[in-house]
Amino acid sequence: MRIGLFVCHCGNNIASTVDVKKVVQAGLKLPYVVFATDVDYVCSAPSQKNIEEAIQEKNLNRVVIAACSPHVHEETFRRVLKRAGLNPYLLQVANIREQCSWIHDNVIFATIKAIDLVKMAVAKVSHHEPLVAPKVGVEKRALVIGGGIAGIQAALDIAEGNIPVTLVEREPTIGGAMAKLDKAFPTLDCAACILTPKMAEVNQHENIELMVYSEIEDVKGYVGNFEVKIRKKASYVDYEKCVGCGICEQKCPSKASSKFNLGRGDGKAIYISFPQAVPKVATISPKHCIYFQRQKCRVCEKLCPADAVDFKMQDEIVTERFGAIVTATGYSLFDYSQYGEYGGGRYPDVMSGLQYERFLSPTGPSKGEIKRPSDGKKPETIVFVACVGSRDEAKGRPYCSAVCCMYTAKQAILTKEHLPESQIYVFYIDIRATGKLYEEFVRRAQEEYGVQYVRGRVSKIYTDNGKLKVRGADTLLGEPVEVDADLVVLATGFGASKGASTLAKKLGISHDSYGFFTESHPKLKPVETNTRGVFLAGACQSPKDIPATVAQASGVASKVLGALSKDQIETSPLVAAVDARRCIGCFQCLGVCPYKAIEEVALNNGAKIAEIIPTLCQGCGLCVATCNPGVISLNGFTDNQLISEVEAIVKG
Amino acid sequence: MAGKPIEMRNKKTKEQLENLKTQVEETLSQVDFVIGYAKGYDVLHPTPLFVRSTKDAQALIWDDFCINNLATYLPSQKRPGGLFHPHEKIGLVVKGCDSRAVIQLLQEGIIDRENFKIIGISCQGKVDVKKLKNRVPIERVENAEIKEGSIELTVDSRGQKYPLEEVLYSKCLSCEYPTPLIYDRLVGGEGSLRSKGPKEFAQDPYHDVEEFEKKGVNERLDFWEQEFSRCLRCYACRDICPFCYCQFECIAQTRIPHWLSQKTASKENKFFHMFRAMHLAGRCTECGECERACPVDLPLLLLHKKMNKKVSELFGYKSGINPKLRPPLIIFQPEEKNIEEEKWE
Amino acid sequence: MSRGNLEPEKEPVKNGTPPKIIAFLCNWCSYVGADMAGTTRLKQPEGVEVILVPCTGRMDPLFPMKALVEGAEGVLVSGCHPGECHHQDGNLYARRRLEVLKGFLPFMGFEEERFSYTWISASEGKKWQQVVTKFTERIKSLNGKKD
Repeated sequence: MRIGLFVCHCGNNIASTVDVKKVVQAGLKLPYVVFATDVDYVCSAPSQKNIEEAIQEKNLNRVVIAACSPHVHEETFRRVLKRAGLNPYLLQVANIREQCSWIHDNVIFATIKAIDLVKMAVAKVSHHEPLVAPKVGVEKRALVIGGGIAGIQAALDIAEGNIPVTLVEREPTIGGAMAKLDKAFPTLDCAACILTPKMAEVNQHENIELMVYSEIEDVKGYVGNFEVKIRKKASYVDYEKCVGCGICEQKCPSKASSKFNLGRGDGKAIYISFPQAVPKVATISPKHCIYFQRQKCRVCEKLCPADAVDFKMQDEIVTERFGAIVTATGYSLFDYSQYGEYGGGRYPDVMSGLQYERFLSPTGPSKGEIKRPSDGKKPETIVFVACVGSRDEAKGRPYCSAVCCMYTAKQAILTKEHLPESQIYVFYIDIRATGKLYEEFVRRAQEEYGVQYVRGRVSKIYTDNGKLKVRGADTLLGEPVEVDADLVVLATGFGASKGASTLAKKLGISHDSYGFFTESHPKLKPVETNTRGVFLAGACQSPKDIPATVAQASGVASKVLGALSKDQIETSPLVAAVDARRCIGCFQCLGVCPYKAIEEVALNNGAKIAEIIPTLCQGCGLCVATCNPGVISLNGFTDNQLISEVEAIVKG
Repeated sequence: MAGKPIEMRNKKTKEQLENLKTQVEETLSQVDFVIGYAKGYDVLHPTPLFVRSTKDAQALIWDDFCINNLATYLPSQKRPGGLFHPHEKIGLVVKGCDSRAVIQLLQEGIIDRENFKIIGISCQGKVDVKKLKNRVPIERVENAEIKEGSIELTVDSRGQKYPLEEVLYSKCLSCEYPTPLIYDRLVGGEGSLRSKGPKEFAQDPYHDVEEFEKKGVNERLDFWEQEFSRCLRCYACRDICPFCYCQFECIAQTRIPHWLSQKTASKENKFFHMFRAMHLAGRCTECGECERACPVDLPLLLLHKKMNKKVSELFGYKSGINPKLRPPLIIFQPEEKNIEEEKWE
Repeated sequence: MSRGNLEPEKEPVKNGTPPKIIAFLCNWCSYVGADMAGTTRLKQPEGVEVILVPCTGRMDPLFPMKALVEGAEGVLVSGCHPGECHHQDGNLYARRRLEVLKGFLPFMGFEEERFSYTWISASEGKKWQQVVTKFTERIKSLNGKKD
């Protein structure tokens, strides 16, 4: 056992609080430490080379590096060992920066602590054994969950890289939230016009399999080898036969509110989501269908020229294998009825930004004419309220939703174009216009279109004699303000998509307390998750606008193509294993493993013991803690390794 | 320890014995062997008997000293000859307290219900030989008779009489299950305590735990330091426990993992008993065999009862009652009603 | 009754010397949170020394037990918030096991202040600072009383 110790100064970061030389001296007194030195910056290229040389010259077979957090450079140092010809897992990093020099002031005590941390690392590493990373094959197919602009872009880019992609979307059409927009800022492009060519491309691309009205049922496996069950929901219309003529929808006698128009507008039980839907097929919603509710009607079936209606349809579950998974599940909007002070959803002339967008759209409930929902009159005064369900601790949404300042400006401009005589007010706190040409766009709204921006929050929206009143403040003038409004648009904020946390559980990824999926590192790994092989794109990770979404989707595609470019990949060797000689066959481990990585194996004499599948094991160690006879060990975190750290602290 | 054989004269247990022999003989046709009680090296110490034939069955006994929890034989690892004999079928004589161990083992999935037959026998409490030892020289007891609430001993031709509540096992005084909770055949009908024990025990089985908790923390520390300094690490407590079925792989004696040294310092001994209590949390059915087996009279049941009390308070769970439940520490609830997150303001 | 096997009395804590406190932190949430406290330079009293575990599910209750029996003055365990475990359920099992341990330790003569477990996410550097500061204070005041 020949341990080498390298203690980093990290410039002043460590050396100003920890007496690095003392740590080296103390290290030399520890059992098995045959070499110890201090280094200015251990992670620098010359220092790495010096460590490699020291390993070879001093014949070291274990290495301890006391420096920054292992989360920063453990991989870097593992590569150093590898280059020096040493197994990369014969390394232990002691965190004497983030968890020592940066949080303490007293040099004497910080140095004592650093010495303790080195003692722990030396004790632990003396129990390390060489580990070999297992290699597995890779299924060269990708799954994209979510058919909004993020999923569409990711699918197209991956398909162009010659990898077959399956795009699963839970609505009957792709397009997501962007398909509901009238125009997009700051170019005021017709959203449908820029989106539909991409949607069509997805439908026609030879490498993309489109599965609409489908959801993810179950996910098993690991990177390169995911086994996914997909539920194809019963739409009661055979999508292969349906030609999208729309006669069924026209003649359907039922009444429903339109889901695509977010509850503002009529719909039918059988519907084609919107005119540019891809695929352009009809779907029946059993909740609203007269046949499903009362066993009468079936008019659509009679009238369908393609004989596509099938009331007997059942959900179908298919199982597919993929090497990589992308979640692009988008967002949901904050429910503004939670703002009792804004009417709690009672006033028909108060609506969310996206609902208003549907009114602006020519495919919307009023065919693009702006009318008050209450009496159908043209509004003269329209008030936009920013930050509804964003930047609001009281409603549990302290974050900024990134797009609302821009879409509010856009809607204000569009409103002025539709109704040049109208008076428009925007109540705001700050203006977030960070993208290219964004600031100029907002200025245009104010200067060219005469939209009145009032800096202040809205405290109350109420009615008085049938008139909607908006009461707020103008903080720049220092005065309260009250506006008589005909229509109020609340810029509702982004939240996680419905069902996000259930999907996260299936995929084995984490999410924050708002439901947004957690990226591996916010700066350096924004499209990966901590679960290898599962990637993120778009608003499911955090609120963002279309340019950022498309950029992220292309970024994700490059990661997926990279992951699937090899024929074999290495999985982590930090997995658990059962000592077959000692296992008593109680199988408590099997019952607790979150990854179903443990199975029963029969011995020749009929007895059964537990065995862990290394490629499924994610190294959490729950089985180890559950096993009473201590028969399971976890590479990298064995009982003896952790006990040695405890003893190094208390027994000094 | 020979001396004159002491005749236990108790009408009820005598009747039960005849019935028991019949039940055992009939069970033999369904199993490979039945485990019951026979006379040991003296009448105060019965020993387990493996009955394979009607002839064997004649040696069966049933009296006020048949304390052994035979359920400990059920996990196949603990049988003589050892590991993994899934094809042998066993019959077992169990009392009420023993039957809880059977149910708990079923819960843990370590035994299959089809592989054993239970002959339940209702019980009126057993006499604690350690409590007799404190009162009379055992080897000179010539006669013992239980009559109406007391035990009458003849020692050196003189009569000594003690109220039963002084000599019965403490667990018997607060017994909640005199009739077995699981059985294929039942001997003896409803059991009943032959005497009501001291009021505090009869009402609250955790009375001793609560008394102990009234001590200050330093007093408790000193108490355990004293007690555990006597421990020999003989592992009798572990070997007799029905739930220590890892006995041959016990972490008290492994190098991988290496939790304990073999030094018999009070600190090491304490750690052994603490982790055993932790491993038994929510599983121990309080049969008290560990305490009986201990050669240096460690108050082990106190430890395990505290653990069970805590588990009961947190999860509303009692071991060995319902075979369909799962031991509480290998499951979880997304919300735990009785666990409050610590506040750090 | 032989007392020959008993450990010698521990030396009373020297004034100012930090207590020996061991903290087990889960790799995905709490360890990152503690790192974040460091990156944002949130000062903490000395004494806490961190052992990294892959998940609080790895926390065999025997580790805090062993630490305390061997003379650690305090033990902390911290993991992801329940419901947000990177490994799905690990912390939900840990919560049960550690709560049982917490209720058992005082019975064996360990002051209940000496063991705590908590939930700290990767972004809660401030909470880690708070926990470390409060816990170290508690341990110091326990040691102060012990003369």
